[in-house]
Amino acid sequence: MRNKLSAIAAAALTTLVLAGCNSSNTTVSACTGTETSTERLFLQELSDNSVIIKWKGTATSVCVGTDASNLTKLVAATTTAGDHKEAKVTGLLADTKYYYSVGAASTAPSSQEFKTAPTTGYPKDDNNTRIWIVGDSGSAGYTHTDADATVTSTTHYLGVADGVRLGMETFTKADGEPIDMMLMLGDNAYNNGDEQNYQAAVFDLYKSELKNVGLWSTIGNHEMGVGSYAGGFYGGVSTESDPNKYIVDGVAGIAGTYSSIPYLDIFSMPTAGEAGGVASGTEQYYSFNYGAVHVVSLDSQLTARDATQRATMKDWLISDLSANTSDWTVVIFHHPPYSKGANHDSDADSATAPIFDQPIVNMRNEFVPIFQQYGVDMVLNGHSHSYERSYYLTNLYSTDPVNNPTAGDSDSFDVTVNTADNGYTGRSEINQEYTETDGYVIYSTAGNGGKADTKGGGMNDVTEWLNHKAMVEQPFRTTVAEQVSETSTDGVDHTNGLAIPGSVLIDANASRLEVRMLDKDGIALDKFVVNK
Amino acid sequence: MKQLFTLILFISIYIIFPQDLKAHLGVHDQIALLDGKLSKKETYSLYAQRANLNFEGGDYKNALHDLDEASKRGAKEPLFYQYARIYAAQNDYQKALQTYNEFIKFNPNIPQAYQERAKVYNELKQYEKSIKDYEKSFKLQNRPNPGYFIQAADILVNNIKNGKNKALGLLDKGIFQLRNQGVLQEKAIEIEISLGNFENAIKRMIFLGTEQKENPFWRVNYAKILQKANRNDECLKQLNLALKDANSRKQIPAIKELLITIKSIQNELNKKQI
Repeated sequence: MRNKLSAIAAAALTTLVLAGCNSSNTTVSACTGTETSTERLFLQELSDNSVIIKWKGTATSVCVGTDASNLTKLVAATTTAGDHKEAKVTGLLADTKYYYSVGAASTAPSSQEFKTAPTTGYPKDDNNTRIWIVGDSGSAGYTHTDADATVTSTTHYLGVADGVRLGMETFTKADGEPIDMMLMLGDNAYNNGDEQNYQAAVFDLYKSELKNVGLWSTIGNHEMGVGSYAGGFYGGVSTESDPNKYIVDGVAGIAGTYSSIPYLDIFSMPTAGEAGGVASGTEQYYSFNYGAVHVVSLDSQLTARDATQRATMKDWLISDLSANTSDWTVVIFHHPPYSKGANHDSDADSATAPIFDQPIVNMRNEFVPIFQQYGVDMVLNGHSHSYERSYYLTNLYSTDPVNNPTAGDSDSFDVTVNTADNGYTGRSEINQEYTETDGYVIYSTAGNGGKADTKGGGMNDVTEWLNHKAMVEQPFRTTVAEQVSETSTDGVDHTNGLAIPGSVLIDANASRLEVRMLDKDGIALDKFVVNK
Repeated sequence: MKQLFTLILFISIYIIFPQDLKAHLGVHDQIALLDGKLSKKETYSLYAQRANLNFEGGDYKNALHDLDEASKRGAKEPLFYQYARIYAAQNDYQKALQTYNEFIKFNPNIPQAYQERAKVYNELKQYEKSIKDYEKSFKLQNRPNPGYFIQAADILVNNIKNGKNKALGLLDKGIFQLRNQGVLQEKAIEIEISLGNFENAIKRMIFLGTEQKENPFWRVNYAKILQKANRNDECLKQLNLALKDANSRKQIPAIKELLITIKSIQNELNKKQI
């Protein structure tokens, strides 16, 4: 009897187990929707285990999977600010390619895919993290809201940002390695950073890139609308620290013309360390990890304009960098601590800097010491519409800006005191190689993603401005022939920067950081390497 | 109708003088530019713009004059915010308060107005009202910048009876609203220590440790609190863990300084034990 009962129990148990197996083998996919077109489609907070798929359109869910013809993971979207939809997909595997459908179809359209970040602290499968950086690229959307009918992008800037993008594409196709992420240095969408500007300058322009890699950004002065003087109407000269004081068009201080900054509706940035950094509590500044690199985005436009906010951001930065163990640390923010662009001069001290450029001074004097102290390797900024790259730099700031405002100026730069002795010859060599030296940082202004100033403020010769002494000399070249030959053919030998549109490409693995400035033909006009 | 007319005027001016307005000039250069325009046509918007620039340049007398001129040509209520800022900058806090009150009556939904009025209340030593305004501004925003919580906490700590405990409450609300520990928790820890609430400070440090990935800097800060709480064995344990972690990291200047700090605390504790 006992044996009979055991047999029945075993049979029952076996049946149950087999039923379970059968039901998992014959699971019906929840992905039965239809691929739906979107007005914009981009990826946010792409980490080693999650991503936010974000779009504008009628679809209300996405499907994701590792097999493009058999997507199985259904995720419903929520509607978020600015009439976006967001689907946060979690539980992903690190360093893995996924395909996705907006509209929850079971198959993904061609090239709608992304790869998750590698696990923090571990290399990518190809042992390289490739970061594409564009600054002040927003010229593609410069036409429609511009009340000034005499200056349009058709006249000046049409195709420049797209040319820069194509240059990156040419280079990456040639060596067969696609980018892993895209960073924007602010002024992403002239002139006001509104929804329409963003559609033209970002979502229409970088359509293919944004479907495949995470997009990250920092806030520029042209993200703040017409201006927040509460009556001042200049695009890009807001001095407010409050994102709710965004003004698209407006007349002096009329209530109702204020709204919240579209940038914060458009982007979904980590606030609670979702992508690997320490939680900041705000999207205005944040950090994340990817492969060998820790990226920090600071807010030099809003937060930096209020002393208490700035101090809080500094405290957060110290916490974040204290917890950081990545091989390389890259910091981005809009206002360059060192630059002599056509319209922005970092030598202006607190008293003489235009109010809207005050952050340049504060970021240099208050944040540069933190970068040095906590092992930041490279800082990238926009704002000046040219390319500049500094020496491997240290201690070029003022510890007492009130009584000693000129410390940290270009004139106070001393190559024997402020640079790492790495066999530097005194002139920029392409392929400059440095050995990583803690306490030293390379600063690069790369606000040439959508335009490059060839005159400004009454000056007509680039040598009148691209002459910051802490910046390495670049061979002066404005023609393709000059670019390739690395020599100047017009008799003017050197400037400490390039007035040529382009973008920056960083390649990083555990032992090497390689940085290039690419022009619209994909030629590296500048390149340097830092080795461990 | 007046607003539409003014808007049309503004657009006209923007079209006529586009490049000038876009140039990144200094404050005084911009004022000079507007002087020129105003000499040709005196408009509400131009006066309001120049008022702002005069304010930025510290010329409050002319800023007020320009606002008065603007008021003659358009709606006065939207200008109250600017008037109030100027009065506050001139340290005429009573007048600033009255004017902020008018502005908020006109538009009660602008968080910045409450923040600025909070600062004025603070100057007038009406601290309770200042805090109320900060709290109102926090409610009007999904994600206020963390620094405002710190500002409000400082007012409570420095000026209000039982202020430190109230500051802790406000910071905890901020931690909840912003959904992270971070700098608000660090401020709260500082207050707990000043109150002698070492056990609460320790609990908060443990919350913070998760966010800061128990890095060596965090461990040393934790060790310092344990030392104050006379939990010396645990203090030494954290210091040893910090030392091990710090030695395995890039020897950046901050790490080198930390190693010195660790040694110093260890020596202090060892002396005590002897």
